[in-house]
Amino acid sequence: VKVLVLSNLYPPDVIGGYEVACGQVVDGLLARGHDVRVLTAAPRQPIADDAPHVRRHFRLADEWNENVMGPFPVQHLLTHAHSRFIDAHNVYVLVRELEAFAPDVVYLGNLVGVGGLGLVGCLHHLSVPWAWQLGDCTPARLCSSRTGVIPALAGEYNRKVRGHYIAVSDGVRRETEGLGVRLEGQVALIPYWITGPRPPARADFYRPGHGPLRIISAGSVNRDKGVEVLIEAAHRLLGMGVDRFLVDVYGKVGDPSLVEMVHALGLDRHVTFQGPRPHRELMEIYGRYDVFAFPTNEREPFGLVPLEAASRGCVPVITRRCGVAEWMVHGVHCLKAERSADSFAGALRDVALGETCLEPLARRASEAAWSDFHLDHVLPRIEGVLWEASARPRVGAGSPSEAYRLARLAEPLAEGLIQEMTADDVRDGRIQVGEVCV
Amino acid sequence: MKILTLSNLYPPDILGGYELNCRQAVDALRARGHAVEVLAAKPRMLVADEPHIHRWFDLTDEWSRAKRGDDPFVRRIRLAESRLVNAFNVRVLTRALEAFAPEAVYVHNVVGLGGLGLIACLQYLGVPWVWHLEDHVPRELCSTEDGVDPRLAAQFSAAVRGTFTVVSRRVLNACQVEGLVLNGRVELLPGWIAGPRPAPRTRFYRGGVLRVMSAGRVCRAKGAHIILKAVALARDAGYDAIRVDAYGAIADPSIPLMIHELRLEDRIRLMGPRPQEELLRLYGDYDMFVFPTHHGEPFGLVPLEAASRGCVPVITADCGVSEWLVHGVHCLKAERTPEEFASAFLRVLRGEVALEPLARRAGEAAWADFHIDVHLPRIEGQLRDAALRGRAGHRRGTPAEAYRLARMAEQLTQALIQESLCA
Repeated sequence: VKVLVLSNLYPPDVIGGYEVACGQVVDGLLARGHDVRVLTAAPRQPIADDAPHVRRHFRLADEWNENVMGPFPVQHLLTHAHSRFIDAHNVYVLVRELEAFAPDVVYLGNLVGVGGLGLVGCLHHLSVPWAWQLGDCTPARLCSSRTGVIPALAGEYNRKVRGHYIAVSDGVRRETEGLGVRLEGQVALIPYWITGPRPPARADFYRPGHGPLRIISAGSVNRDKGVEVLIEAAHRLLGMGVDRFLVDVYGKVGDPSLVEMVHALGLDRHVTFQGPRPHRELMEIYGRYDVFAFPTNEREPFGLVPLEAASRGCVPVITRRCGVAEWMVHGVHCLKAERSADSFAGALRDVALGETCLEPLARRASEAAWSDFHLDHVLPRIEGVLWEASARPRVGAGSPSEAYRLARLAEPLAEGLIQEMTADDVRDGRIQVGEVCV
Repeated sequence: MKILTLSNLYPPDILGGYELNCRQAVDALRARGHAVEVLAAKPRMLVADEPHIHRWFDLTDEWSRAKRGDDPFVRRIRLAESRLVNAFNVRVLTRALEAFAPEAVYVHNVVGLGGLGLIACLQYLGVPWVWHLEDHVPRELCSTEDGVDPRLAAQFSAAVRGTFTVVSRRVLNACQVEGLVLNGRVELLPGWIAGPRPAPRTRFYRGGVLRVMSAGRVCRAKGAHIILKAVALARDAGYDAIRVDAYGAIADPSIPLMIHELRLEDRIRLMGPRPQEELLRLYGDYDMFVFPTHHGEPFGLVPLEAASRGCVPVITADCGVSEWLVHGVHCLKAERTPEEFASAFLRVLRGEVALEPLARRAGEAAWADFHIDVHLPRIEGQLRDAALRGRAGHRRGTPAEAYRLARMAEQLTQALIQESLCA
């Protein structure tokens, strides 16, 4: 199958797991003999020796960069519009690539940052079949302003856009539709995956009385990921008389108040911030820990790291209702807890005191990770969706020049409307310069 | 030679004659066996692919009011993207330089592309270049809405050195103001015509109705209002045998109203825009080409094209092309007033000026002195010399560094604009 892949960024330049996963699917599809081409944005740092199938011709509206967003409401909103609604340059790039490559199907990844709604609109206008990997509520984000989903945009999306979606969790589907953006067409639930060769099976497991319980967390060190819940849980553990444990937190500290919290609670001997590590190193490190704590927020679309930890026999203790929790069974492959310090402290206490035996959990979790969640297992399902999507009839297709002309009309229209609205809002004091708008 | 050409737009998507001349030079260089690749911006409409033309740049369309924006902050940001730096385009350029490894870069109009950043990138990488100036592009690149920024001009003068070919002395003078200096080799090279020479004209004005044409945007900057008033003055002087056809898009809606007010409906027709090939055929149907353009006109190619078809130009006395044509020999020149242009018409209508010898000499001069084939050896020589100098020079930075610097510069520019407006 000839597959054109669209993604805002592409490894090695990534925002998070969404782009990493996209790169893994592309490598997997190439290895299975498909003809794959990637269209993505110019990277934020120079990249040497890109593969020939990767074309970084899109322009990125870098809405994650505070310097780019700036203090002016109008700048915020224009960047936001280019990021999510329409970027005529990117529509041009897409149209030319569709003409040159003539793909059977387009595989969409994260389209925030490249005027994603315009790209989907272009594919719709040209009746090009697509399958959209949803690692987040991307369609709803693309229909959103700073105050949430714009009903008119969502309504138009619901009326026109129909295709194949691959959601990494039912939570992603529910949240998207809960925001008023319907996923019309086919929705397949396919989890995220681990990659790489299987290492030797883990041989050492936690046994009470034989050393401390070694707890790890990894990812962004902030409250969204629940690091404060973990710190508070550690404090409760001490209060329960459990002293033989250590918590190592890997990742870039995004919220310095968490470091102060550790000091304030007198946890310096138990909780250590280890800083960020390369992914490859983390994969080795998991095997040295007994438990992977993941008290993330409940709207976490998936959460790959607990699965990676599980693949190394490090048992995940996870928020009961996050994305990955849909795919793992409490007491079989993991432990689930309410997202509270008490609940996490209770689960960790049971492990520390031997009331929950980790070894069988670790073995089952690892086995499940390698047998059910490895890319080699997941990829045929993605291929199936791509194949099914490619068979969609291309009826009523418009012309590429129409699609580009429409994009060139839409872009200044969006910019003009934003400038008019912003001028009114600033004049009437509804927005101040310096206010964070998006 | 391997030559990389940079241009904001490229035919068939054009702003004016600058892009057309760019294409003619590229085609001529390719016809002489050079390997020429073109790097231009995405067009404003889909156009057919040509293998040597890469429309990869991002264009900031500062000529479109809708894109320029009404908000003062947006306008300044857009202007900075258009003129100062666009990191995306610097990356496009570095990738093209790596892939094509040109011996020299032939720069044309780079307004709209963050042109200063592109030139800085070439300087930083030690890539030799020749910059063909059909307009005061360096001045524009160093300007904001408030005019030339003296700090930018000083930095340009200190850091930028190469080969400039300039279409008129007035462009050169306009580029060397307020501290801005073109350093390096600077040569005057007029705009050019291209294509095969048609059969010589045989029909010339010998009384009767004088057929006059104009071509280009129909607006006051190009002198449309002067043409109207001049025709009205000729009529009021009792000379009724003059008809003017104005070809081009109407950029100023007051012009059709003015035709009505001056009761010139039977003498002046607005013919709308036509493709260049058609215009080249049409010149032969007219006796005179009227061009009362503004004094700052850098060159003005259309009178030269008209001359090549034996259509005698009547031009503003001090515009760019008038530096290259002699009054009474190849053309008629007039001060930019309705009275002066009316006077030129009247002298022809009264038979005081015979158009035929003027038309013959103008046609001969156009083909002998202003054809691209005449200029090409000079252009080649400039590119070759630049390449030789570049070979002897040092490559100072890497493409990756250039891109990183461009991203820094882009964000710094935005931050400075924010600060200046917050202050």
